[in-house]
Amino acid sequence: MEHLVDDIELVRRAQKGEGAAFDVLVKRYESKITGLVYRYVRDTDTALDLVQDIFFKIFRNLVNFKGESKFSSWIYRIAINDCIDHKRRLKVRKEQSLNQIQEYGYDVADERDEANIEDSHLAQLEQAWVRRAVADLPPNQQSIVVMKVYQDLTFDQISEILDEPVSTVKSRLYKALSNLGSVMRRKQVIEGGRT
Amino acid sequence: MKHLSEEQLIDILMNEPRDAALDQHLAECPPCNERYRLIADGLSVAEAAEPIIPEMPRPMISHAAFRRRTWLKRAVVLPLAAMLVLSLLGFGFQSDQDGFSVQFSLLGTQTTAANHDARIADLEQRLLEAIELNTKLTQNQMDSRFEAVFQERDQNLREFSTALNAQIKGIELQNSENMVDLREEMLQEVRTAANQGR
Repeated sequence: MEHLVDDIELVRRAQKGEGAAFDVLVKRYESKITGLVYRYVRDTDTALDLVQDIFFKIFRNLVNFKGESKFSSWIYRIAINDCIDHKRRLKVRKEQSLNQIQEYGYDVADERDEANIEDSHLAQLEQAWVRRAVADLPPNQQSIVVMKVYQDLTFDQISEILDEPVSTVKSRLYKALSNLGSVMRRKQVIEGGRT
Repeated sequence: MKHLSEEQLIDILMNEPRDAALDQHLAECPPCNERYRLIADGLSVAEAAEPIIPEMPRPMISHAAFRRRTWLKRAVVLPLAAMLVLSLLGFGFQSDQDGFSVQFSLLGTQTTAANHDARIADLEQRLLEAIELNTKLTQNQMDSRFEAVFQERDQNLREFSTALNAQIKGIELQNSENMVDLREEMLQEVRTAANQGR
């Protein structure tokens, strides 16, 4: 019968401390959030860790949810912000480890060349470049690609999740897609030059 | 003619509800068409990059698990916070072989002030001892340095005087040889003169 109860009612009950209501909400959104997070981070272990964190944040902050937006939007917003934070932390860590390697006198350029050779091999085999192109997008553009292209959310939903006007969301999607289109053009030029 | 905006191009690409005139403009305007083709290519890249979600184990998420997690956090954080507050208020905590003990002195009382004075005096004493020790060590180091310099100087003097003596002996020997030669020459001259006189 719980599946007939709407989110707001379940949230209200969970806010009063009813564990079963919270568990129903988890069941309702768990796979959607896991899908969203996996599409963003593309790694099973990281996705599972992030999903745990996201639901723990929801658990802790549920008392502060006033119902000003839809519960689904609120939950997606927490998830997207967590994914963006994760990506930023990862970038900082990568930069720090690169700096550390350089401090120890290791030739990063050589290592990058090796990585490029390896990656280009992968690219030929698995078209890894398309994944890399999406992963290299700025976090706020990547999140829109994930929500619109992969999760098939409407612009209104994305607008509510991000708390931004629809026009901003569309403009950001335009920038993300033109970035990806430019990557494709550059690749075509390079491949054209090789043949 | 006004070109299509980014939003309008996205509306066409994502098949959003729109004015039919937008599609008409796109068909007739090469610059807009080029921008549209760029984002269409971008969309095909994004679609090609869509990950296939693998089978994943269900994360351990439940109200009961999160409550345990919260209590565990509280069980660690709260005692630490309490200890911090109490130590700021003048409580002292000590754990030794006799067990755990707590001392207390009220903040701002004479006892605390006296303790502070005693600690400062102790620190000053330690500082003086450290300075004294450092002075001694420095003095010892300087003494041993001077000792080494003096030893080196004596050694050099010994070597120099030996070399000088050897040189003087050489000169004396040369002088003796020269004197012998000179005497021989003079004797020869005297003999020659005597023979001539005869």
